Amino acid sequence: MQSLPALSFIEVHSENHFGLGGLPYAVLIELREHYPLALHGVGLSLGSAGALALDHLERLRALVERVAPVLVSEHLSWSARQGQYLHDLLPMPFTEESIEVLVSHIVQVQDTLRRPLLVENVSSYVRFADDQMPESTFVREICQRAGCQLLLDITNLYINANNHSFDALSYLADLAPASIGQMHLSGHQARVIEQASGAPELVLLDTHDSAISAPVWQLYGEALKRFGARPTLIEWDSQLPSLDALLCEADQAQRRTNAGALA
Amino acid sequence: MSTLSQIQQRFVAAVLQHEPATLATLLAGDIQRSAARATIYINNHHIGLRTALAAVYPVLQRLLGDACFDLLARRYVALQPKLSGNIFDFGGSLSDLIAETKGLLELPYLADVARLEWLRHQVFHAADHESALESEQLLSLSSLAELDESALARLRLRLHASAQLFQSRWPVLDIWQSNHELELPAESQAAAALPISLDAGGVQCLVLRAGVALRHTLLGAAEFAFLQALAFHPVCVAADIALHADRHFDLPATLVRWLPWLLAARRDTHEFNI
Repeated sequence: MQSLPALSFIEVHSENHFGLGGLPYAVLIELREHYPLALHGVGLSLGSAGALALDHLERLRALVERVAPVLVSEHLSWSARQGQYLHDLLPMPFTEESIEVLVSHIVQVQDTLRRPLLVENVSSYVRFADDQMPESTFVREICQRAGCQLLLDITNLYINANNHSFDALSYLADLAPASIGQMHLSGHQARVIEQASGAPELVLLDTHDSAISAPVWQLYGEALKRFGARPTLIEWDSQLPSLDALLCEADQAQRRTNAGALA
Repeated sequence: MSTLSQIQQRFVAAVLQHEPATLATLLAGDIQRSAARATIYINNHHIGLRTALAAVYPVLQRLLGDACFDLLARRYVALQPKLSGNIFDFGGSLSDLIAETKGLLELPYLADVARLEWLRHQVFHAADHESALESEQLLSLSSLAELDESALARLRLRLHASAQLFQSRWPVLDIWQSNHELELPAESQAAAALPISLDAGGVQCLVLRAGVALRHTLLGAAEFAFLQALAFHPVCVAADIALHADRHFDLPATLVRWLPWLLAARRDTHEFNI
């Protein structure tokens, strides 16, 4: 932090700073002196059937109270069942019951934090047999009923459109501009999965470990056209590049955002 | 149609038990393709946890070598230790598995190295002193001096979470230090070159955070006994226990030294008035 690059905000994983102490907390407090801060949670498991983990919510509340972030977000996913956790952001079945569970948990979090929560669409490699609606309807319904905004992850949308063969542009068309509060961009990987019988399959993986691909930038452009400029974050948390390379990506997003906002 | 709870229960079981075919029965589309994709989630879970362990236990990994550490981590993850929504809570019982693993008995200090690394991890993430519970407070020297004799006799103190006691019958601190230094630039590797004898004896120390830096401070037998006894006894009893270990135990000096890491129940709370 010898130099302070021009950035409109900084986002951190909430859980990394739950300790409220030591180096992780000191760095956060120093960053907060220079940049608006966004907290992005990965462990609340909003989509779990049953009750939210209240101790986790309390730790989030304490952190939010301390650092007064400009944005707080979580995921439209689940990672736990009755206290048994998986280390992942798992996809939801797109059902009426899932919507009800997510909406009630989002409302509970918003009531506890006494502020709006942004929720992010997650990447997925599978679809459930019980799905009752397309993903865009699922996401739109949740935002409407919970009175929250979407953190639209453009890369996750691109990955899902490829993995599940749907049209990313009609997904964007299904969402109301007012429901989009923030956007995410990140790098992904393609992997060929061999099959026991039949042709191998190409699956896109959500890896956050590389530069943003050209088609994702293009989809971001389409989102800007439809929704206008939104706070946009580059997520790169594995195989980190040099700070310069990262700032270059952020700069590119900023220039596209500016151009999109003027268009 | 299944309920969300049923779907999530089957999904979790299939991931924990490495059963992509079972997971695929919940999924849409061709069952074989679904099973292949389900494997991504199974791998993500298990690899993610092994990566988390490697981040907490770098010295253990160096001592065991990557292949052996990975084997140990696989076994540990397969035991399905409790997880929370915060990955930093994961991995605390790895030392128990090491102690029970027959193939590792030739390296009797390994479990203690793991305990030390877990303590360092705890101390690293512990709340700052100012964030102490509202029912407790740090005492200043002057407030300590103001306590009358009966208050002193009742006084209970406990170590803050950013200071943790560690002891081993092996020279674990030396082992940790020399292996930790191997990750550092050559000019910082003072201890790494020195041979370590397992007969060198054990260690008693406090792992603590001063500012944002982690430190290990060696403790004498009496000082260790005193700080350990504080978890169960009032200060005056802990001091007796320390004097028993060493009749030269210096209570005022010990209190002055560790006061920044000792919490007292607040004056107005029940515990303080017992």
